[in-house]
Amino acid sequence: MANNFIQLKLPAKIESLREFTAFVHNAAQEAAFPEMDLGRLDLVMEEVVVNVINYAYPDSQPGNIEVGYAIEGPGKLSVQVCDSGRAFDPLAKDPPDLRLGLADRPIGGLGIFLVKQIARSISYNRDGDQNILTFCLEVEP
Amino acid sequence: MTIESTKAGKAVVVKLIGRMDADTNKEFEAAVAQLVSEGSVYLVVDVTELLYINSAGLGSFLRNAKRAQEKGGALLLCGLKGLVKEVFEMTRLISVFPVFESTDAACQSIA
Repeated sequence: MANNFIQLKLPAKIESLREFTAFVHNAAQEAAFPEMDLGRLDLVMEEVVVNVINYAYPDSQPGNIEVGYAIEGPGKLSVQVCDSGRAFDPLAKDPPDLRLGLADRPIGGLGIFLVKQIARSISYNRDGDQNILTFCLEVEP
Repeated sequence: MTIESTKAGKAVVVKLIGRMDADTNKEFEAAVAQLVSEGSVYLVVDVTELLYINSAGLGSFLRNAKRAQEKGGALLLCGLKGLVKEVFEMTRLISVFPVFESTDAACQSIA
C-alpha cells in the first residue's frame, strides 16, 4: 500500500463490504464528488471488493483486505485494494461479448468490465505475496 | 429495496424502489420467479425509483428475462435514468431488453 494512502484493514468477508464502501464514499464526499459519481464509486468498490472476497482466499485460509485512498484534488480520488491471497489479475479477463442477445448472454462477467469503464485509470500489480489493484476516479468537469 | 407488483391487464408491473445490490437482487429474482410460476409471464419492470444497481443486479435482470422468455413471455423495462441507465448502456443491456418511457407505453405494447 502506498504511504500516502489512508487505510482500512478488515477480514475478507461480505460483512466488511459496507464498511469498505462507506470508508471510500466518505472520502469522495470530502473530495466534492457529486451524487452520480458517488454512485459510480460505490459500484466500482462493490465489484472490486466482492471479487476479492469471492476469489482471493480459500475457505480454509481466511485473510484480510486492505483498502486505502488518497484525495488527489477536488473531484479526484485514488483507491488501492490489497490482499494477500492467491495471485489473481482481474483485469486479464477477456471482455464480455456485448453483442449477444438475451438467449446467449451469460449471467455473469460484467462486474470488472463495469469497473474498467468507470475508472479513469486502473492497474494490477503483484508485489511479493500481495495483489494490489489501484484505480483512480475523476469527476468530469 | 422495495418491490411493488401490480396487475395491469396482460402484464404485471414490478416497481423497484431503492438500491439493488449483492443482497437485494435475490429478492427481485424470488419475486419474479413467483410471478412467472403463477402464470404472469409479461413483466414490466419500472426502475424510475431504482437508484443503484451492480453486476449482480444485472445478472438478476438477465435471469428473470430468460425465465419469462422460456414461458413465452418477456421482461420489459421502463423508467431508465441516472446511474441505472448508464450501467444498462455501458453493458449494452439496453438493447437486450425492450425499453419504454413509461409503464403505460410498455403495457400497451403487449396488449
